Amino acid sequence: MTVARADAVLTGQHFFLGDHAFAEGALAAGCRFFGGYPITPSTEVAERLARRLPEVGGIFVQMEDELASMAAIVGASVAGARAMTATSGPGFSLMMENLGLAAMMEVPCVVVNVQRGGPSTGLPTLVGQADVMQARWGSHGDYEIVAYSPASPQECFDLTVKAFNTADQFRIPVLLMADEVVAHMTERVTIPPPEAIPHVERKRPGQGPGDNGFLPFKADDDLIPPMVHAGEGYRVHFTGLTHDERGYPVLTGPAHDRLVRRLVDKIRLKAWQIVEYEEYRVEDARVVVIAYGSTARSARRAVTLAREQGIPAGLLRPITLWPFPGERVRKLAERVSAFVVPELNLGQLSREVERFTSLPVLGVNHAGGAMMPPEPILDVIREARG
Amino acid sequence: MSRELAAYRNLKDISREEFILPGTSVCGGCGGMEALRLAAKVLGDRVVYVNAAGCFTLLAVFPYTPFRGSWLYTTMGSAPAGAQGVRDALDVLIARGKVRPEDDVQVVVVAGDGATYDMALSSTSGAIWRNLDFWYFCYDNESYGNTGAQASSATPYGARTPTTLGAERRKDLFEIWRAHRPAYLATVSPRYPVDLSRKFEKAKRFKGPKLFLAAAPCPTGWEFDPAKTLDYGRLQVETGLFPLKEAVGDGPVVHTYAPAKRRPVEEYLRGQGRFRHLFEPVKQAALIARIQEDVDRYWARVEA
Repeated sequence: MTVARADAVLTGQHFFLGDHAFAEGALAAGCRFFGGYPITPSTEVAERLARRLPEVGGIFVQMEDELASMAAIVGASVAGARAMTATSGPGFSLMMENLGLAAMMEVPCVVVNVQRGGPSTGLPTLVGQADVMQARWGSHGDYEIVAYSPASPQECFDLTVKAFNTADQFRIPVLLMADEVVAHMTERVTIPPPEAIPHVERKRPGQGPGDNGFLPFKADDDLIPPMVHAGEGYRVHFTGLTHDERGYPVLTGPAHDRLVRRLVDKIRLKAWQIVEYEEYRVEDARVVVIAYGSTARSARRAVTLAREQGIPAGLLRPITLWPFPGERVRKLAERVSAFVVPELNLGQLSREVERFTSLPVLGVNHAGGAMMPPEPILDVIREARG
Repeated sequence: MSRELAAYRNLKDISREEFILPGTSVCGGCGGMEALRLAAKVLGDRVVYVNAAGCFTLLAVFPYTPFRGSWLYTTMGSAPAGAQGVRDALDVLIARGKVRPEDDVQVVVVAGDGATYDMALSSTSGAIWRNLDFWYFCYDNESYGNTGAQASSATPYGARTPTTLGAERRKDLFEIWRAHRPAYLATVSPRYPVDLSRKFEKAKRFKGPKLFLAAAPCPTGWEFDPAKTLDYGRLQVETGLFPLKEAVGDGPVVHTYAPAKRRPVEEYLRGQGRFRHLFEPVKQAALIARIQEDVDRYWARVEA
């Protein structure tokens, strides 16, 4: 079947669904492979890419389940493509083993998780934010992860581009932890011209194939090994077993500590470079609300209402859930009196906030099913103000 | 005359008692629901339904289950494994005298083609291989109906879905199942209720896996008038696209109904939104011919 060639980057102003903005962000970032499986509320990402990827010379594959979806994008990335999948809670759970594999083999890839109410099938069509800790700790073993939390369709686009760049820069899987409200929200999305889309190249080896001294998993000073792709003539061996710089299994304690410590440190030591957050009226705030995703939109309104009532409130919105902007919390803690953490779960990111302050951390919690309104947040801001 | 033939001579022999009560939340005109309703009339109410995520999961969320019988939800890939646990636990309880043998219940997996053909295939394979004494009812609406009719590996060649322009050929699930040599397997259609009832009745004889692939014309996903579900159910069989057949253990496949003169597939394809592109804006005669050739080749082998 012949299909008219279309632009990968749809430069201009659009009125986009969050899920469609993920799809267009991926295309703009150069993603040319999507392996996925239908699941509400992320299906629109797959449906749009099913149509758009063939238009730009990419491949969309509907896999038989989410284990397969995650494995397929790992395979595509090892062969050199920028690759993505999209899912929601139950599928995210199924992806966990292969997500850990991607972390262990240092395979860049991007996973969108449009969160709905859980656990289990939960609320398939309604919002939740309860996969935050799963994003951090979902696969077994020690590893670090990068997870972005978009709060608007524009951010769905922008952060998808960023996610691909971060994934390639650090050779890691990167998560886009959206929630159903943001993914099913339609707003203006501005797509810049192709030359204005930030692009970070995957680090590639300086040595050519055939060099016997070549070590495919030998990291540079930044702890990241350059990546070779299947089919380029190098002798490479990707394994989920503990491996050394040759990529071959070495099943000893010292080798394991050396490898896992590097996998963790390549992110931990650069966390300051990866962390992103946005602030609203925190300069003179005494009560700081920490909120993300759709809840941050309500929190912003709550802060405005509090200010109108003379309460010096502010908002810290983590854009990276992981790494968490803990140092910023520590800094704010020097001059505020309390933190308020509204989230559509029964207390997840609030635990992380508590690690960085001894001040009161007041949760505003709902298990999910509807967007958090500003009023309960405002009530707790008042309570925190005392 | 065999017991099942004697029990179900015609429509009048089908029980008027309902085991799936009115007020379900599936779409109007759901062919799969009609097939399950008929099956339940044979199975009765001493049943634990083990479900995998799909359209019929909605049966248990709004606001009560319509089943007379029990319901266990599992994850999408593991309903037959869930059935294993239920069956084994019942056996243990019966052996220990905690459950009277006459109080035993049948364990029935209810899953759509998405779970059955794709995600749960390994779980089903395991359950058949362990010779689990259970029933498997797959309502085959040829797509992921519950999320908007995306392609599954049961989607027929030529059908447009939200994720494919024209799917590949369907997996031959009947033959995949049959390769495991289950105690009994059959295809059924809600438009052929006597045939359906006989097969469920016959399967009661066997201990072990009893597997059913039920045609499930889907007005929502296939895009046709819900009033025409049974028309499409009939055409699906009369064109030869959905053969009604059964097999016992490692015995031969027996076609329980063969249309005397098969209707052209075009009659079935025309009028369904998912095949509209085969007729508009210009008729895709070659594609339609390929679908017809597939059917003809199948029946030539059957009749040889």
